[in-house]
Amino acid sequence: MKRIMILVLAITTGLGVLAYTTHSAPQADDVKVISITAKKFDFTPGEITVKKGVPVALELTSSDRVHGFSFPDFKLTAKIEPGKVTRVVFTPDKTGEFTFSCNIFCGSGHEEMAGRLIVTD
Amino acid sequence: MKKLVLAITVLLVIALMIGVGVFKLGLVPVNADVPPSGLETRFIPIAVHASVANHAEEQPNPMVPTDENLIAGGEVYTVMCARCHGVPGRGPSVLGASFYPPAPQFTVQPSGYSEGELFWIVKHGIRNTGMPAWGRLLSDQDIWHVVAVLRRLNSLPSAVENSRSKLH
Repeated sequence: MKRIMILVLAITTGLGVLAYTTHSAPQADDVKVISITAKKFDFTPGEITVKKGVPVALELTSSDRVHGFSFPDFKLTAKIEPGKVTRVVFTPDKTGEFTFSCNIFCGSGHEEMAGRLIVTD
Repeated sequence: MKKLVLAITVLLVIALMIGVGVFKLGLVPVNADVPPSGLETRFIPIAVHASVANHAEEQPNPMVPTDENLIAGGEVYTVMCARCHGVPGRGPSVLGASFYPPAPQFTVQPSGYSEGELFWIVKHGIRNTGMPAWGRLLSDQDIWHVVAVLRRLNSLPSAVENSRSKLH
């Protein structure tokens, strides 16, 4: 009986270790975190450079009013509200220069509110 | 029979070569400072209307036309649309008239499209007309607001008109 219990304990411990090593949560270093502040009528920073294949977390905030975040090249949209952080995570899978913009009308100048993501190899 | 097929083939090839020649030699007019031809005026709108009707979802405007929603739509219209489609009380837009084909003047002639169709047009744009796809710059809510305004452009409540006119 004692041998069986030791065997069960060993198997469950082994499975636990295996599960931990194969499904561990991404480390902070795995994701490039970039904070972006939206305000009438720009994003700061307005230009971001990232590497292809490296996950990116955009932390979006607004310093004045509600804005939108539209990034059709990566099929991303989000609402940016003052006092809140909206987190958008994605992995750039292609290189090039891509434009994101505000898609919630915010006044005269709204149509110029855009930023650029540069993805390099 | 064989001769007929051969003759048709030769004619088609010649027509194709003439067509390519006309394009490559720059003989197709591209200037926009002339009125569209009768052919374009008559047939292209048929294709545009049919395509819009085919693609647009027939749905009522989910935005209740309260003053608040119309003020929001009036602001979008004034900033994004009025330059080409006309400012209420000011007559047709000269800029809009300079497009090929000229941009519809909603202050002169309200649109015959349904609200669902107007939503689709604003969101997706119309090719080769100068009408952009606003879906990248405006939320669905913004677009429904402006559609509500388009339906009432010449009869906006005074609170909405006052708010809108302050933007000029």
